[in-house]
Amino acid sequence: MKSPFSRISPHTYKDIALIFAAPAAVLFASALTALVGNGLALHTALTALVILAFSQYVHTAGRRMLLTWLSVTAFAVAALFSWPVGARPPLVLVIGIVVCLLLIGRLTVNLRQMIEEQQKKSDLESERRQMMSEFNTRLMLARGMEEIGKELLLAIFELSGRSSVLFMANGGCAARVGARPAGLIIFKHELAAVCEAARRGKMVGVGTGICTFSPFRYYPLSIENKVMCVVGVLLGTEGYDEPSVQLIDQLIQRGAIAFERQVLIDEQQDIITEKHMEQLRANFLRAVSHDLRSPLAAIVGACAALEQSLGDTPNTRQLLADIREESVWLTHMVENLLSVTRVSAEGPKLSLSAEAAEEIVGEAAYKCVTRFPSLKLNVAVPDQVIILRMDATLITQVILNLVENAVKYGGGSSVELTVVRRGRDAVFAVRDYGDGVPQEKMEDIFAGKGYEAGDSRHGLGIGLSICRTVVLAHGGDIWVENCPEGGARFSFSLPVEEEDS
Amino acid sequence: MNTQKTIMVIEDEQRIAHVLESLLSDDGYSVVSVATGAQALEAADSYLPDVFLLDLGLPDADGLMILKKLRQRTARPIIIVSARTREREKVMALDLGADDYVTKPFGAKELKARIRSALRHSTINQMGDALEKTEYSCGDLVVDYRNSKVIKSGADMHLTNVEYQIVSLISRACGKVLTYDSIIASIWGPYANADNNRILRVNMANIRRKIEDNPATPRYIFTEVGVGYRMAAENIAQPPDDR
Repeated sequence: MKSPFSRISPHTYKDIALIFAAPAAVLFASALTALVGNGLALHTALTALVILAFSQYVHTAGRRMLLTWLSVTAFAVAALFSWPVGARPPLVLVIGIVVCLLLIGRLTVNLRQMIEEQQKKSDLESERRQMMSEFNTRLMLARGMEEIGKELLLAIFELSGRSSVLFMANGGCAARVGARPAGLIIFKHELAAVCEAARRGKMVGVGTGICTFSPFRYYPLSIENKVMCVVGVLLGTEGYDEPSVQLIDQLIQRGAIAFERQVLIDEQQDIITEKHMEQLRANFLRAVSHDLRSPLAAIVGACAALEQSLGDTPNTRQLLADIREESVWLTHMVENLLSVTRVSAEGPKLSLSAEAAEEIVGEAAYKCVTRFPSLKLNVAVPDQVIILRMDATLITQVILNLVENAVKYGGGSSVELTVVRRGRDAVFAVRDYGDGVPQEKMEDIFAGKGYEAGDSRHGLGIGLSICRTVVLAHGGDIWVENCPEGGARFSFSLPVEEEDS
Repeated sequence: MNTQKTIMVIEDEQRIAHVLESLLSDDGYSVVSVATGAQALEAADSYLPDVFLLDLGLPDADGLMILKKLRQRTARPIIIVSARTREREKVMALDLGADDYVTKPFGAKELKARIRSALRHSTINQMGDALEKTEYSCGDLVVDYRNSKVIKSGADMHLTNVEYQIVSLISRACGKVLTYDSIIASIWGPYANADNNRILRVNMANIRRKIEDNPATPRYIFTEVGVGYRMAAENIAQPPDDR
């Protein structure tokens, strides 16, 4: 923006000089024509020429008009007084010429004005285009949502001269992240309009018929039908011009594109990072499984071999059996730890597949019987086939943990393993015939507290908390209850896959 | 066992190889143990072992590649012994021609049972090559291939057509794990889709209800969770804990 002072200094003196030079030139011309003789026509022509030529270099319409007036006056004076009395042209003729000259001056001024306006307009247009392309470049260079938002607000301010504010939409609420000018005051009740825009995914505020109390118009910017942020532009309640709104629309559209691009970039980045993490995780898992399992396999196998080859030396046999049992327990622990890594590392992305509940129960029962040869495990499955989506390895582990728990704490050697359909869930239950779970432990039995409470070395608290983690990750539920006729029943439910046919 | 069977252990871990050697030689097998894939391929030609125990994590080559090469040389059973537990890897190995899969750490009993099962399967197959098999029998269960019937304790179990096809398929390959995909492809053809997986489970559940006493503790058809199904080896009624 040019200051009013900068406009005065360079032009004004030149203009004043020209304004006075023009009548002087007219007088000079009249002197010249007087020498020639009866040169009224020539004088008139010269005066017109002077007006046209000089007003080219004078700024503003008023000054041009003044220049014209002065020149014409000079002409009139010269025409009326410089001639010898006898040869003086008739007054009417002079007045007629004066009027004509004034008209010419006026026309020149108008023409000039029109040209200037046109010039100005196209200058503005090209400036705007320039700014628009600059805005685009800056948008392209901007990294991150915040920077894009900042550029957008700046562009709205520079190109349309309007104040604006940016909100990040987050679920139902919105948080102000920036404004232009920075100190822009937004009243609390504006937030209602912002949330409305975020909720509807449509423009609200001035001129939209929704939330018209607001002097702002709010533009939601959404990506894949999810509103990411809302830009509010201060239009004022009493009127705004359509072209500037169009311009703002354009700017917002470009901003939206930039946001979308940013989200894509972010996603890509995420995928790359995730892939990398996945790789690391997989390597880690492989390392753990190999490093822990192989020695365990060697120990367990060696014990079995020794037990097999040794004669009847009860003491040694007992020791060997102990070693083997402990190793098996360690193995089980490793499996549990691996399950945890699998759940927590992969989060909601369990490797789910459709499985028949009875096959999983069967597999778990087989593993239980292998681990506890003296266990009497009663397994019951319903006549109706239940198909579930699950990570079979993990659910097997859950059942195994529950049965192990029942064996350790359930007293007797008899355990029931059942699965039934209950509404939209399949309920797996492990029932023992022991003393049940003490009331005070019911609360946080799945919280992994048993471990801290010094429940012997075999921290089954871990086992139960793993069960909980796995079941919850499957969208199911786990609970424990004491049966009225004695013994505890640990149950967990998993949602049954809906049949489409 | 009238003739001594040879088992080749392909395992780079010294201790495990040692344990396997002593476990198996106690049972009367002769054991050849090698530590690398290259040695395995060499020894396979000179010893002609009856069963291969292959560890997938070998130092010199990818275990799956060795499996593929071994499969090109011999029809003898190959049992994978590996610490990799991902179902995907099991399925890959089985589809490349492995007969069975045991994960580390393995139970000694389980491993031996699987070796026995694989050996029976291969002996029967060698005999069966000469004349077309007419039936499969295991304990009370008989699959009559000529009349397309499944008979248990002398009574026809009235399997549906698809159920019979499944039983027939896995009983002919008894002792060997058939992956879900390979079963689906043989029964429903190459254009099978994900729905077939579900249909297979339902059919299997129905088969079990017809032929097993308790479908959750099967004696004839075993589930390899996430991988596939395996039919018990012929002629020996197995207790539930001896697969």
